[in-house]
Amino acid sequence: MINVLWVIASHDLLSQLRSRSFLVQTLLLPFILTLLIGNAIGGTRKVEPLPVGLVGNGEIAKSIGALLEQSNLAKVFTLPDSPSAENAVRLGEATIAVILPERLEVKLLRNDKLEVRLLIDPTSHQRGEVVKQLVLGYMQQLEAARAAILGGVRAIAPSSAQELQKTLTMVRQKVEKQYQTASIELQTKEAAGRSQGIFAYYAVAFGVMFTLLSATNGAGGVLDELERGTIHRLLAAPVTPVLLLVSKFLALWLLGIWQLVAFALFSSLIYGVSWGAPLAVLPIILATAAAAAGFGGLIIGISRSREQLNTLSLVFVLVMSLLGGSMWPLETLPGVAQMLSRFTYNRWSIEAFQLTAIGSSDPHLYLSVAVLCSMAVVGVVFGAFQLSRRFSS
Amino acid sequence: MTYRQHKVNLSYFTHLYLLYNTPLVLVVKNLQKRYEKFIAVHDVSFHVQRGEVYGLLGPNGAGKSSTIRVLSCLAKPDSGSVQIDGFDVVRDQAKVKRSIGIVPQEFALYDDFSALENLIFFGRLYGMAGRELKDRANELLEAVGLLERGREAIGTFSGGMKRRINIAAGLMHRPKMLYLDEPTVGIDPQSRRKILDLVKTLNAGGLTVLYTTHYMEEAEELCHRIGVIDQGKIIAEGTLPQMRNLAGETAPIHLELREPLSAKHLEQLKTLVDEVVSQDNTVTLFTRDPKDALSSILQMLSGFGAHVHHLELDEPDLETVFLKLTGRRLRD
Repeated sequence: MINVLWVIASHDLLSQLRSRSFLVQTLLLPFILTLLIGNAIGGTRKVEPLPVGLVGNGEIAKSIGALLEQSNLAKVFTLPDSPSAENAVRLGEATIAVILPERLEVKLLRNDKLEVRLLIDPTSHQRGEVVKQLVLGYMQQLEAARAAILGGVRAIAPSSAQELQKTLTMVRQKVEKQYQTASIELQTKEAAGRSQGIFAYYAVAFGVMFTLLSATNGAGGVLDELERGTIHRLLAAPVTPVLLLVSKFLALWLLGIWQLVAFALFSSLIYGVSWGAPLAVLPIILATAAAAAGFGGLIIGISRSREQLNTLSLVFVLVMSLLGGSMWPLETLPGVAQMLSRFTYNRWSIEAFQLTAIGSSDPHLYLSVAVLCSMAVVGVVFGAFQLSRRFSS
Repeated sequence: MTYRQHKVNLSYFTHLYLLYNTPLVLVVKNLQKRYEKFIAVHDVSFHVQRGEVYGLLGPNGAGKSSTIRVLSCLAKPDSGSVQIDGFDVVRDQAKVKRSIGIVPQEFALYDDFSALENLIFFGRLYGMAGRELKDRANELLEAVGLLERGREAIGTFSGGMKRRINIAAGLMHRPKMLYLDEPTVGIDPQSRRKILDLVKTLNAGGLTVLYTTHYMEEAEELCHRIGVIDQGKIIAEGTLPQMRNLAGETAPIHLELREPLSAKHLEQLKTLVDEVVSQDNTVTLFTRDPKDALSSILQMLSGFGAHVHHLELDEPDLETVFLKLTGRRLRD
């Protein structure tokens, strides 16, 4: 039985490895995409500052501009008015526009209502949020300063010109002291996070995405065999349907392992991507390849023909890659997408690879492996059930 | 001294005698197979003896392939029984599968593998290995005339060559019985000839063959006995002479005329033959001795002033049998 299992699985594996299109899809494409997107988005490993438009003049506007520039998160340019700020955001010239009220300093001293408007392009993700928080923090400090000034002014009750002079000097010193103490000073330093840089992130993300694509391609081979009649020839040999299905999924699993191992090795050698300690990475590779085989089973189960399988697999892989972090980093996704991403193979696999890359033994790692294995079992059982029905139809 | 070794020198009747006294390899009893509401095989019974070529003849969709599927353990019968070499197809599948070789209608081969690799792969499924496996693969490549091209990918082969490798793949494990499911569909006459000769050679070597086809001339040439199947039922079975007897002693003469004949002229033609069937400007005349009757018929038609466009003399054959039993032509 084991012999027949291996005969069929190794035959399938060899068949895929001989195919040029498979080699292009499994090795060449992920390498090229990692190179292109890694370089385009952040291959230099530097955080590019966001363009921020600032409407307002006066000392406070200059101070806010200086603070943002100092953070290295923003490149500030001034804009004349509110409509031009809106236009700049709409055209993509500015990712964020900070619109300060006119005569801000006077309003501040008069205790008038201060309204600062922020226009944020939602695609700016976290960096836009950081800039927003910086501006809000600055405005809170202004509020504190205003309170200090008002407190000082209310305390003034001079009986002579000299006393008035003395009191004003004291207030000035107090306000300046408080303002200086509370002023915001920001230093931005780059530090490697869980993804170890965008290049390493995309190496993992594309590795996972293309493993899923290969699994669907391999799964399509089973449908081709059904159409060609070789499946029935195998079933007419001393091969039970269960043995045949197990050997087909074994081939898909081996294919995924081969692809991930090859990609990890090549990306380490060529791009210097660190995947982590080999013994720690291996279980993730095994679980991801199993999940990919399960995904192949799922796709076979719901497809009636090779054409249908090609379309469905493309749609599924694209959607899962969009939601699961293969197209852009998971943490940049909105809340709903982050929740939905838990249903994707990509998310669990990418997170697990990220954790092993930094040598973490976080419990989330074990959870990821468990989820991937569960996905594999569900997919394989579903695919096997559907295929066995088709074998006897 | 066995029957096989001397088969070529035996008279037809001795041949039949030996066939009826040799053990049965395949026994099909009241087989029924349905797919949802559609009854593909309906109460089919037949048997095949060792060393025999049994033909299942019928039009497309008659139930031949469905029968083969049950016989190949690919589908379970809904009722009835099938025994192959004494083993039941439901209970003793593993033993049955080792006794039979399958040659499906499709090219059930791997195009990106060479002919040799294909044969070795199918041989390994039956537990063959090592020298035995390679020798058997080469032996079969030689038998099908493709030894020199054995290392080329199947994808580069012509349809006829693929058919021959398809047959070789079914023979790798030395089965006792070979199922050939329409093995000559869609190939050129030269390749067809090679396949028919190959089947004859294999049978001469003692292989029992179940041959399904909708080409009556193939059945006539190859098969010792024939079962005619239509709409899932065996409607006639027997040796070729027995089948010809079913068609009766009359043979058809097909005429195509420029104008249809009048009823009066058709009545007059009836005096020369046994039966006249007319439709538009075609007339079929059934007579016991078509060659003798032909000159009188043509003379009479000339007297009517009728112009004959086309004339065809037929021998009573399986086509006639099928036409007589079902009212339809085999290839309809």
